[in-house]
Amino acid sequence: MADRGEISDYILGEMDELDRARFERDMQDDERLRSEVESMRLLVGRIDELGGEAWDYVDSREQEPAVPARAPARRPRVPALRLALGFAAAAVVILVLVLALSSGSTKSSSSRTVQLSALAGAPPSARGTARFIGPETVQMRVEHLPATDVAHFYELWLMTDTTHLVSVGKFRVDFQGAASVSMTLPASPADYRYLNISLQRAGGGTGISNVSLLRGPT
Amino acid sequence: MPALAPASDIHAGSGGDTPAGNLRSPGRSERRLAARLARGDESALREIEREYGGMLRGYLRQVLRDGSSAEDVAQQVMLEVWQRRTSFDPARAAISSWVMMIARSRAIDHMRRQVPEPQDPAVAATMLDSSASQADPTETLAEQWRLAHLLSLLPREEATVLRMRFHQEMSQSEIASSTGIPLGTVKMRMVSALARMRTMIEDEE
Repeated sequence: MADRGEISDYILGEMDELDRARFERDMQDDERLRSEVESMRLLVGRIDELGGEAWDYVDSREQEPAVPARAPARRPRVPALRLALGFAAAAVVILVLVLALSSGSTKSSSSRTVQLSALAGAPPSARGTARFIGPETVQMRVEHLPATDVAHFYELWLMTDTTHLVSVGKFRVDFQGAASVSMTLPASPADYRYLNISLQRAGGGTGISNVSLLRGPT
Repeated sequence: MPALAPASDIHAGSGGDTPAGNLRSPGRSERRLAARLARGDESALREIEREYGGMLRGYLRQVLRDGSSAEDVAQQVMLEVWQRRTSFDPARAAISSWVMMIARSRAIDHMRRQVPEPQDPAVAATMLDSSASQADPTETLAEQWRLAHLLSLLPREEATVLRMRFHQEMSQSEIASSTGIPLGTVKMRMVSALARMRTMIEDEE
């Protein structure tokens, strides 16, 4: 029976023609091999369907440094090839710059971070940060807030005062009072004075409660 | 009922019980975890949150296409995990499958509630059209995220080879030349990774 390396090479389409023909002849005569190949083919098909978000998740769970810092490329590099690669990289950079300039895009990918401070009534150690990423996203991290139960949640607001405000999103915190969430901004932060976090009661309506715990400038 | 950690918190820094190169045995550890949960040990719920919260939220974000809704539904799912802890039988399903089954149900509930004013009518119609002959995307995505969770349990070097092959669409030879790892080692890792994945999937099912 073929070894597993041959099976994966075959399924991945990385077997040369001669070996492939031989392997397929082997499969005709070997039911176990056929079954093994089919099983692996199904698995490979499932992995092949994974999207970028799922792979990002896999990456996020990995705990060691990225592939071998330890192993510099073993193939001797041809200086001319290096030079060509350098020129190619420079050309790509120039092309990207030219495209960016010519597109006239006004979108900014810059980010800035603001501190959220505890208000009266919040635990003194409560704190948070909000990072605005471009015009549409805010990533928020809070710590030491009172833990939420099922009847309560926190809500992040863009606000100037209680008559001029808009909800950004809701969240709960873990048992240590921490949360880290990313939300889409419903309006420009520049139109509001503060980022404000209020404690809300489930079923308590859509307005802001009178319990605000963290606040920071927009 | 303890409060719950958000997804982006879960895997920050080191920790967890799955060091690279030293695979846990999902069967045994899950049985222990399920037993603790059934006894009402809140730390077991936190462990489930830590272990599966990323998968859960990744799935919900992709299905619901709204981070805020995904977080709300994730909280509902974890609450339900807690409420139904005594009825969970690890001999019948892996915890990840159970969590994702609840997640899928709650996601469908959430989308049904959103139907009168869908944010994206085309998406909602696709998701909710039970007469559609296509595979149910909530189920397909749930399977994909369970698979992603299993991939995350692989030793790092094996997961890397799979990612480069299937996500970056590199051949094994290209992986070898770009990493400096001998082709034979790349192939060995590929074989090992696929074998481990198959074993883990069999254990799950």
